[in-house]
Amino acid sequence: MSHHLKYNQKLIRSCTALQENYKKSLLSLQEILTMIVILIIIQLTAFSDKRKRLYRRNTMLYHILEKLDSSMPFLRAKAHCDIPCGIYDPIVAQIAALTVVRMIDLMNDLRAKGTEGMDYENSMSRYITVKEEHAEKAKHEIRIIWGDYIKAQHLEAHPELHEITHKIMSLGSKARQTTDRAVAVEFVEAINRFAEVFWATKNIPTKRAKAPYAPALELVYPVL
Amino acid sequence: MLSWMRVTGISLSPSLNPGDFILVLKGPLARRTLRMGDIVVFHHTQHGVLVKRVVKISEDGTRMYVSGENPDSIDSRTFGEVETKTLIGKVLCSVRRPRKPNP
Repeated sequence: MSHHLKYNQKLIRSCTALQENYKKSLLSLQEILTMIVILIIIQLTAFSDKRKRLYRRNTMLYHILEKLDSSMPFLRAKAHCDIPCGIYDPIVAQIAALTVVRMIDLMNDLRAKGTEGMDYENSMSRYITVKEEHAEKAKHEIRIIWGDYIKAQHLEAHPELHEITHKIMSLGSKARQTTDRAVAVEFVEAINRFAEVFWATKNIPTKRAKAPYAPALELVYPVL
Repeated sequence: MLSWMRVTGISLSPSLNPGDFILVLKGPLARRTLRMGDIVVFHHTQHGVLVKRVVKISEDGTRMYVSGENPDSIDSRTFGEVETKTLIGKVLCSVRRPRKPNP
């Protein structure tokens, strides 16, 4: 085992030296590649234990490549997948935020009606639950768009995006903590603003229209 | 000419995983030896440098149908055939992120 460790250290050292040389432009990329191929051959023949041979060769080569990659990054080849870039639409967050306002309205209505007892508690706790869930859902949806869809070039064109997103996060929490309708309306508006920027990144124009259900607040819709 | 590249994304998983290194054969030799089943690196105007598997090559050899191995992959099913002139190279071998072998 110690023999192998020593051997590994030796190889890593030679790799570092190789890297240094590359920095000084003493070696061309071709030469580095040739040396790597030689290293593979050495590795292939160095270990007699067949079971572990492949694993060792691979580990060593991987570390060498990683070191090279950190000093002169290789070109990235994207195995592009739909999982991180499928369907994005801020409308889910907008509707969730609108639901928060609706729940506050229903809570106020219930109080105004003067219902008492278990029915009151039952309805009130249901409204609260939905309000909690939808405020969190709106935040979650925005976080996904902001984290997965928004790229550096979008932020360059719309530097206010971080601030809007952060505002949505704090307003969403505040909408859960309080029953302040004004906060919930502000929450909807912040998400509307986010939606405007989102559609702008896709060069799709937007319009503002009243939601066709209570509370009929204005929402931002894409003009398709 | 040979060149190392690094894979990002999961569309070729399990053949290639994110972080794996690939040795790519570039230039006319890659184009001449292009076969169905090869993993290729090519340039896509919208998605940038992509790595996919060749499923089909047109008879005149100018277009290829590429696919990932993951059902969610964005490939010719989404953007159609790609021209072989966008080919950067074909993958000769890969060095995978090490995983401990079973004892």
